[in-house]
Amino acid sequence: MKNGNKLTGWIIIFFMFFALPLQLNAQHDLTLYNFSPVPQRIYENPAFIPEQKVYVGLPLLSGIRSSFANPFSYHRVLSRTEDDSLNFEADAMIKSFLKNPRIRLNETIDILSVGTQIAQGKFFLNFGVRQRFTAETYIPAELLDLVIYGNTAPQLFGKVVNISPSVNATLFDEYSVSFSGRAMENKLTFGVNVKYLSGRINVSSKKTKMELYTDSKDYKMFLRSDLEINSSGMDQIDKYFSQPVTNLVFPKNHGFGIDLGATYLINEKIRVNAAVLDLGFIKWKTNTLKWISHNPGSEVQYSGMNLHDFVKAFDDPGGFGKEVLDSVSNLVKIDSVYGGKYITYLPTRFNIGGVYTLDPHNCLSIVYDGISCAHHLSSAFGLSYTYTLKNFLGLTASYNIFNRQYWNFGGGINLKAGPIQLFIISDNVPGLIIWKSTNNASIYFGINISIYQKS
Amino acid sequence: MKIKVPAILLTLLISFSSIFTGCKKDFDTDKIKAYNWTPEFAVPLVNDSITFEKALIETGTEKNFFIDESGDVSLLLYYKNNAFRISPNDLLKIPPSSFQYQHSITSVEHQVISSQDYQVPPVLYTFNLSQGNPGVRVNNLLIKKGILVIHSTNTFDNDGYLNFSFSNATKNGIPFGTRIGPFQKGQVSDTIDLSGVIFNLSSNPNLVGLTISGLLKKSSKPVAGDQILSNFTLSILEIGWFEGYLGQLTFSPPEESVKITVFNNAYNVGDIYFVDPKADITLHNSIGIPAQVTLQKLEARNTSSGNSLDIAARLGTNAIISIPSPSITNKTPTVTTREYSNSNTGNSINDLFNQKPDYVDYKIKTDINPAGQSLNFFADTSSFYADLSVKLPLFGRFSNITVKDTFSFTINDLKEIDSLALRTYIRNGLPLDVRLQVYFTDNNFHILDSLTGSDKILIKEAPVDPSTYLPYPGQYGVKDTTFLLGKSRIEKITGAKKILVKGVLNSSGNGVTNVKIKSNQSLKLVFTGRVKINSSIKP
Repeated sequence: MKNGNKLTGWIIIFFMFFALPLQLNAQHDLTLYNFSPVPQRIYENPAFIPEQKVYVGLPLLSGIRSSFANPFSYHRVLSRTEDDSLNFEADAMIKSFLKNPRIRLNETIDILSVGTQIAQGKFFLNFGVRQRFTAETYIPAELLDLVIYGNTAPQLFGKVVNISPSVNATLFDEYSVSFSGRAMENKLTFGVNVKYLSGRINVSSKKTKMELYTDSKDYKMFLRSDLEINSSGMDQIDKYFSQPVTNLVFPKNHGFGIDLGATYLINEKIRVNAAVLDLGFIKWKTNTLKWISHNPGSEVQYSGMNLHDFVKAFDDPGGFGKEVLDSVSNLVKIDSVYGGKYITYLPTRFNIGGVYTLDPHNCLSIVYDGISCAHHLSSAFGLSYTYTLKNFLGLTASYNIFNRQYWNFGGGINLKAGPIQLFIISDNVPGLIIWKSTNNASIYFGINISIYQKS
Repeated sequence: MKIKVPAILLTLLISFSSIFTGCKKDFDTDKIKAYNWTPEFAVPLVNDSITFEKALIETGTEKNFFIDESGDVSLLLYYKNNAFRISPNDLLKIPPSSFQYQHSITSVEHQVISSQDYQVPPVLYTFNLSQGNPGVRVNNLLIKKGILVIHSTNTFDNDGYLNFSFSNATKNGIPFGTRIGPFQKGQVSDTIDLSGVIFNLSSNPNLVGLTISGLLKKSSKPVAGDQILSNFTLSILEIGWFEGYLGQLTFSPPEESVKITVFNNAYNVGDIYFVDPKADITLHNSIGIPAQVTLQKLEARNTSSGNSLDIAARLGTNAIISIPSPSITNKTPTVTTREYSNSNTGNSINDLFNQKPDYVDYKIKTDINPAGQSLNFFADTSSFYADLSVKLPLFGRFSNITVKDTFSFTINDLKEIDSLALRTYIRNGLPLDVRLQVYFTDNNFHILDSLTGSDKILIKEAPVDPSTYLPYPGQYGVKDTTFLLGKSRIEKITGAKKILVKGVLNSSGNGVTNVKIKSNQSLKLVFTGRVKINSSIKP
């Protein structure tokens, strides 16, 4: 017991000194991670063996998970005036992007989840089919400065700034088989989840450099671009559903992934756990299109037109302004390359946590979750309290830090009536209710048929 | 069993139940006010270094100027290729020649034909190619296009034929002759192509011999009294090559008048003096005939003032130009140029230009073989033509030369521009200053506003070295001005559709000092704009 307390203390110290300074700005399923009545948390750590003997997630209702994270909240960018109308607060929006320039959206639909204990509960076998969508868009505040304030904004004028946005979005199907087991007299649980991935649509920014410099004396503009954006299924996306059914179901963008996890019972009160999720890749080769800088890395300069073109520009039906804009935008030449293959890696997640069991009905949990995506680590931290009453009621409340927000209070409810199990979970319950004041929200709900051991 | 559930978890349950009821009316985007977008953009507009030569090319006026190897620039007041032209067909036209061949069958001939073939006796005809061209001597003639047309009216049928044999004529190196037949009763026409036939008449100039003979095949026809009757016409339509002598001829094409459009006659308004104006005529002769060209009239005419001046008489012997013939052995055209300047015309070129003409009238007469007999030759590709130009080397002085031009002016959403700061940096490498005004006008050229109000933009000259008449190297006239257009002035020009640019040019020292314009003298222009937008964007 004493050792366990020490360990918990060290974990807390680790988070305080190392994890928190990192950017905490992703969607992390922190509450689900520690909410044991829900069997789908096996997707958060394959070593989390469900309490159910057998469970079947109702097709399409087994689990629907949706989360988003904005750099700003509704109230931050739209302020109410005395006459009850709303003002767009550009300054506030830009400041938000300056702190956190990423917009994230994650959706997961459990099409089918089935799990069963085997070998008298020593092992657990789980099958799952899920459709997942992850999107992360990076919008530099400097780009907004340029659009909203022009290139004379102090943040831009006479400075080299990278105004390139980036986007990484993937829609894919996941077919998984996981195997979990117990060892060392149940002190250790372990699990592995092997996944076949079938990519549907992808956009991924590989290189995102578009440096802009406006000379504050003669207004000459210098641009240096090194852009490379890969895509699959984006070209003629309006005809996506006109494809043959076989291509729609299996788009031939194959990929593989694996999740690994383990828990260890230190003493009767304390169990620690860790998992690595989404170690995997998808090889995209269907309907691929790459946008790439024509002269990557080379600097181009716009110092004005020649007099002949200047005079001609006034005669342009689109107007002089359009001519000038065209002249500047023509500096960036992007080639479209059709065909080819490329690989994208899944955003890999790392979970490390611990559970302190107060009594059979109450426990405290802690978790650190990190997501590595596009050379960027997003960290999150969660602390939760869970109450369970046998297997028909489960409640949890959590305090979470993520998305640069320190006041996220999550919660979850699990109800079981007969074999029907319903659950709903969120990492930020106030965010769902007073959504105008939050910059993130998440919700996860589902219905299972759950059968427990009679004992 | 008593169930103890912490209060905080109960509130959770209540919270979840309220999620979907508490935010029904909250995406009230219709309440979002229009956003007042006020960005400020700094944009380089123009960065150009315009040499005099480049300006000419870009304005499409380079054809009005002449730049020599040293970069000296001349204004081509008038330039015309083919001011007049003499082509080979103007020199010699041979009229068609006609003759008749007739042969009556005698009873003796009938008796012979009834038992054997009979040779019709040959008859010789002679054509004179100088017919209609007195004084012409044809030694050699290649017919490029020509025909011999034969209309026959015979009174019998026979399988025989008539032979035609030209003396001293070859085609493709073979003596030229042909035949027509058989004889048919009634009217029959034949055409013999003479293209490519060469007459070598050196031994007997002008005269072409044609021998007609024939053969009548053994037959019961013709009988005594039957006739062979043929009318011949020889037509030489185009000459491919001529050698001989064409005689002394005079070509006097009608007077021509040309309009001077350079600079839209901007020089009419101000004062201008060119140090060394020039006119020249260049004659190209690939016809093997010596000639003499006389400039009979060179008149400057100003239709505004009604004044005119013909300087042809003052040109003296310079008005007459002898044009040598090219050599028959290498046939390289001769090029003869006569330049008229103040020095060789008693200042009459300056007098010509001082008329500030908008029209120049000229008349040219050409005499061939002015010295009498010589060997003339020409091919169908030969020509004799003149290029005429009036050149004004841009070396002189001028004042108050006014140039105007208009451009379309389209700036959409001008109303959304709150202010505009236009900076113009002009570095003048030309030895002239410009007082410039830019007007904004409507479609009917009604002035709405000007860029500088009542002021003018004075772009100073590059300082001039009086010893060379050129700007000192590396010295320029610099003008750096920023024009601020506030909201009220922008509103004034909102309806503008045209920009009218008016410039008044003076050479160095306010038009007193002579200067030289060189093709590499340049104007560097850097225009930048800083525009503040004020636009209302509705969601």
